Amino acid sequence: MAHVSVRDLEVKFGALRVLQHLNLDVGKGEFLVLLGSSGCGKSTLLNAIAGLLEISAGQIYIAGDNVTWKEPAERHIGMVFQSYALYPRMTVEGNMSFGLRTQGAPADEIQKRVASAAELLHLEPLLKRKPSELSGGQRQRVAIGRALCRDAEVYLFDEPLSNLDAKLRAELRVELKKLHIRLGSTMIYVTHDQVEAMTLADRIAIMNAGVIQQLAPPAEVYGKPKNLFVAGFIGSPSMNMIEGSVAKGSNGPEFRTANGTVPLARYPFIAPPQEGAAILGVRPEHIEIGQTQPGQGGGSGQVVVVEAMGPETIVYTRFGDTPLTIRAEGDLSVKIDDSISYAFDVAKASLFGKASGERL
Amino acid sequence: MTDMSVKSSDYAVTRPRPKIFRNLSSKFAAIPMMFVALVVFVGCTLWSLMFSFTNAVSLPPAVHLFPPDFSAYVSHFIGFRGYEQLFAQDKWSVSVHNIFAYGICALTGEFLLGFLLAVFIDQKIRFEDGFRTIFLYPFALSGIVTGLVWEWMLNPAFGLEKSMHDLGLTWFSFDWVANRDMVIYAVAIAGVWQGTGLVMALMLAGLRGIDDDIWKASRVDGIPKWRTYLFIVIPMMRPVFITSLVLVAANIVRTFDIVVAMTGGGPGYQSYLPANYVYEKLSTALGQSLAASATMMVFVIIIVAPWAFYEFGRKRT
Amino acid sequence: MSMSATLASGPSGPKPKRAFDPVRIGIYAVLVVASMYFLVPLYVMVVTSLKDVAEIRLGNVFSLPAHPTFDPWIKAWSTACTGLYCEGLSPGFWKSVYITIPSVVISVIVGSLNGYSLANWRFKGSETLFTILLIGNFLPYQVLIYPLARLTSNMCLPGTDLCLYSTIYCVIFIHTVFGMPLLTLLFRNYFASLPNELFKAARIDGAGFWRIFFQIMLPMSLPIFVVAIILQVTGIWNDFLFGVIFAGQPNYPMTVQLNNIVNSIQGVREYNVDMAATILTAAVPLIVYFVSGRLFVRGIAAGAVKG
Repeated sequence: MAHVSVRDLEVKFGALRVLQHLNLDVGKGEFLVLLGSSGCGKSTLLNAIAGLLEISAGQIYIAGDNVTWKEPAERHIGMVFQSYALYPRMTVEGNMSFGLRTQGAPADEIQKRVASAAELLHLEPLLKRKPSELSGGQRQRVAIGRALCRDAEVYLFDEPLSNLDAKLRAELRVELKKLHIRLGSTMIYVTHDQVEAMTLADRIAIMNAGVIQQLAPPAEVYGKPKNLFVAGFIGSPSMNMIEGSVAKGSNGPEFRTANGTVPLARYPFIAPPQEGAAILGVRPEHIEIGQTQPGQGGGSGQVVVVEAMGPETIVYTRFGDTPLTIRAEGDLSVKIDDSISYAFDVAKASLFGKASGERL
Repeated sequence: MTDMSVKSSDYAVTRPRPKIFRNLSSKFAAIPMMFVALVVFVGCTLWSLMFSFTNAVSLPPAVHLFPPDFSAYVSHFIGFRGYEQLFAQDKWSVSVHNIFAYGICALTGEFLLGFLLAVFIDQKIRFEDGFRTIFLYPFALSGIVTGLVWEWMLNPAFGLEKSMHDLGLTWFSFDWVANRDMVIYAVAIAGVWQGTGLVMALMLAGLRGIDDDIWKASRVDGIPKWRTYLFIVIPMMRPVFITSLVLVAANIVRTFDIVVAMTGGGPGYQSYLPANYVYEKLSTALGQSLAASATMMVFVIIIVAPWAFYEFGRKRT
Repeated sequence: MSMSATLASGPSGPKPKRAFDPVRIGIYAVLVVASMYFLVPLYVMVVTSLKDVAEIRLGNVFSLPAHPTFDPWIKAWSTACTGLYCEGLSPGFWKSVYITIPSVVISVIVGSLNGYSLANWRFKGSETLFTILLIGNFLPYQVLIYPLARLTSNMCLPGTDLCLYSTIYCVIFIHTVFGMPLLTLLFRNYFASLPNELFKAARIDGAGFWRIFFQIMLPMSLPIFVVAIILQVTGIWNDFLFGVIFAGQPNYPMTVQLNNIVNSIQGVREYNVDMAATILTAAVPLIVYFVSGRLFVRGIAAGAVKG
C-alpha cells in the first residue's frame, strides 16, 4: 500500500484550475522528485500534500490515514523550505525544538531528537548559534534538522537548494542522498533542476501545466521519455528532434525525411507501427561520428561549432536543415567547416507522433 | 626598433580643474539644501541656544498671542539663571508633567491599539480596505480639527456626558475637560484617535514583510497562531517597533495644535504642553521661551540619539 | 494491487468551515468596536452640522436631524465671524489654496533635486548635509521659530521696505524649508532604488546632470511624485503654527480662521456652524486621502520608516 497517496486532487486559485484530477502514489521509503519549470504546479502539489493550502476536490492519504481535512501539524510531515524559514531570534537548538516544546513533549525526548538530528547533519558545533551567524549551507542543514526532529512519516522539500551557489548545491545534494539512505524515510522533493532530480530520485514525476507528464525512475525518464515535453525537458544538451514520417518500407518500418531515410527495425515500438507524420528524437550521445553502418540511419553535414569540454567534445552540425548536436568522448580532431558523417543509434532513440506528441 | 618608452617631455602640461568645480551642477542644485541645513537648522538652532542664556524680553510687552510679537527686545546675558527661572515656573512644570503624562498615554495607546488592529486586519478579513480607511482617516486631519472634534465629544454640556444623560444614565459623568487633573488625559484620547492610524499602517507594513515561509514552517511545526505572533513575529519586527517608537515619540514632543483647539491650554494652564508654553512666552519672555524650547530639544535628543547611534553607528557602510 | 479501491471513503475535498467560528467573530467584533471610536466623532459632526439651532439646544447629540438644513454650512462659509471680519471661511479657504499650491510645487521640486543629487551625484560633504537635514527633521519647530522670524524680517528687497516676514511668500518659504528633510529622504531612497545601470548608460551616452534628471529620472518617478504631493498637500493644508506666525493677518489659512471662528466667540456657541466649518476645513485633505487610498499609506510608510 502506498505510503502517500493523492486521489483526484483539484486545486483552484480563484477561477484558475492549477491542478485537476491529479493522482499520485508514493511508496514507503521512496525518494520522489516533482520536477518542472516555474508555474507547472509542483509546489502547489507539495503544499496541498502538506495541508498548507485549500483544495477544492480530492483526497490525500498519508500512512494510511485520510488527512484531507487535517492541519499540517497533524499530518506527520516535516517540511523544508527554499528560504529556510528559520526563526531568526532563536538559536539552532531553539529552532529545532520549538515545535516539540510547544506541544509539551518531555525534555529528555526533545534532547534526544535534537541530538540525533544534529549528529546526522553535523550540526553539533552550531547548536548555540543564531541563524544570522550561519552560512547558507549551514542554515539549510538546520532547516532539515528542524524537519527531522518531528519524526515524521514523510518529509517534504520545496526547492531547498535553489538559494545556494553551485558548489554548495552539489555538496548538499550528496548529503541529502546519504541522509535518505541512512534514514530510509519517504521523501517528496520539488525542484526545477534536472541534475538534482536525476541524482536524488527513486522516481521522477515531471510536471507541466498541472499535469504529471511521466512518472518513472530516472533512467526510464531519460532513456524512454513518454512524450515530446519530457524528451525536450530532460537532457543537456537537449535531444535532437528531426521531422519526418513513419512509413512501411521494404525492410520494415522506416522514418522518411527530406534528407534521407532511417530504418526503424531496431526501434522498440510500444504498439505496432502506424504510418503518419512523426518526430524522431536522438540524444547527442547516441549519434556516432563516422560512416553509416547498414541498418543504421545517418547523414552528413558541415561542422558549425566545436566545443572541446575536456572529457567530451560537443559538435554542432546539421542534418539537412535541422541543427544537430553530437556528443563524442574525448578529443576529436574535428574543425569548423569540416565535413563529417554520422550515424544514429536507433535502438536508443525516441519516436513521437507529430500530432499527439506521444511516444510511439 | 622604435623606443616605446615614455619620456617625461611627452606629457602635455595641463592644470587639473580645481576640486570645487567638479560636479558643479549638483552643487548648484543643492544650494537650497545647503542653505536650509546650515543657515536654518544649524544657524538658527545655535542662535536660539545662545539667546536661551539671556533674559530677552520684547519691548513693549506683547498684547496679543496670535500672531506673537517679534518686535525689538532687550537682553542681558544671564547664563544658566534663565534656566533656573524657567524650572521655577509653575506653568513650565505643569507643561513638563503633562508631556510625560500625555506622551506615555499616547504612546501606549497608539502602539497597543495600532498593533492589535494591524494584527486583526492581517487575518485575511473581508473589507480590509474599508477598515484601514476608517482607522487612518484621522491622520489626514489637522490638529485643530482633531482638537475641536474632541472638545465637543467630551464637552459635558454637549457631548458624551449629555448623551448618556439623555439615555437615562444620569449617574454618568465625564467632565475631564474641566477637571484640572484629568484634562491632559482627555487630550490624550484625542491624540490617540489621531495617531493610531499611522502606527497601525507601520505595523501592518512590518507584518506583511514577514516571509511567508515562516508562517508555513510554524504551521507545520504545530505552533498556534498567537504563539507565533508572540514568540516569532514580534521579535522579528523589533526594528520596525523601534523605528516607529522613535518617530512617534519625537512627534509627540511637538504636540501643539490639539491643545490650542481643544482646551486653549486650560482650565487655566493645566493642559499646557511644552510647545504651548514656548509659544506663549515668545512674545512676553523671549529668553525663557528659548530656554524652554532648548529643553524640548534635549527631550528629543534623548529620544533620538541612542536610536540613531544604534541604527547608523554599527552597520552603515 | 488495486490501491484505489481501499481509499474511496473518508473526508474529501475542501474542509468544511464552521458557520460561527468564535475567533473570527471576535476579530470582527473588535474591529467594529474600534471603528466606532474612529467614526462616531465624524458622524456627530456631520449630523450636528445639518441641524438648526433650536434642535441643537434641545436635542440628543446622536439623533439624526429632524429638519436637515444647509444653513449652518452657508453661514460657516460666508458670514461667520473670525475676529474682526465676518466673512466666514471662504477667504481662509482661498488663502490656504494660495499657500498650499506654491508650497507643494516648490518643496517637491527642491526635494526631488536634492534626492537626485544625493543619490547619483554625491560630492564631498553631501552626506553631511543630508545628516543635518535628517537631524533637523526632529527638531521641535519651537526652537527655530523666533530666529526664523528674525531672519525673514531681515530678508528684504534691497532699497525697499518690503521684507519677507509676515507675507504669503514667507509662509511658502517656511513650508519649503520644513518640508525638505522628509521629501529629500523620500526622493533619495527612491532614486537610489532605481537600477544604477540606467544612470551609467546615460552618462556614457554623454548626458549630464540636468538632462538625465529631466529626460530619464522624472518620467520614471511619477508614483513617488504623487506620494510626495499627497504628503505635502495634507501637511501644508493642515498646518496651523506656521500659518499663524509667518503669513501675516490678511493671509491666515483656513485652519487659523477655523480656530478663530470657534474659539473666539463670545456668547452663545453655534455648534452647527462650528461643525460645518470644521468639516469644510477638513474637506480638502480628506478628499485627497480618500482618492489616493493606498498611495497615501505608501507615502507615510515610506516617509516614516527609514530605508
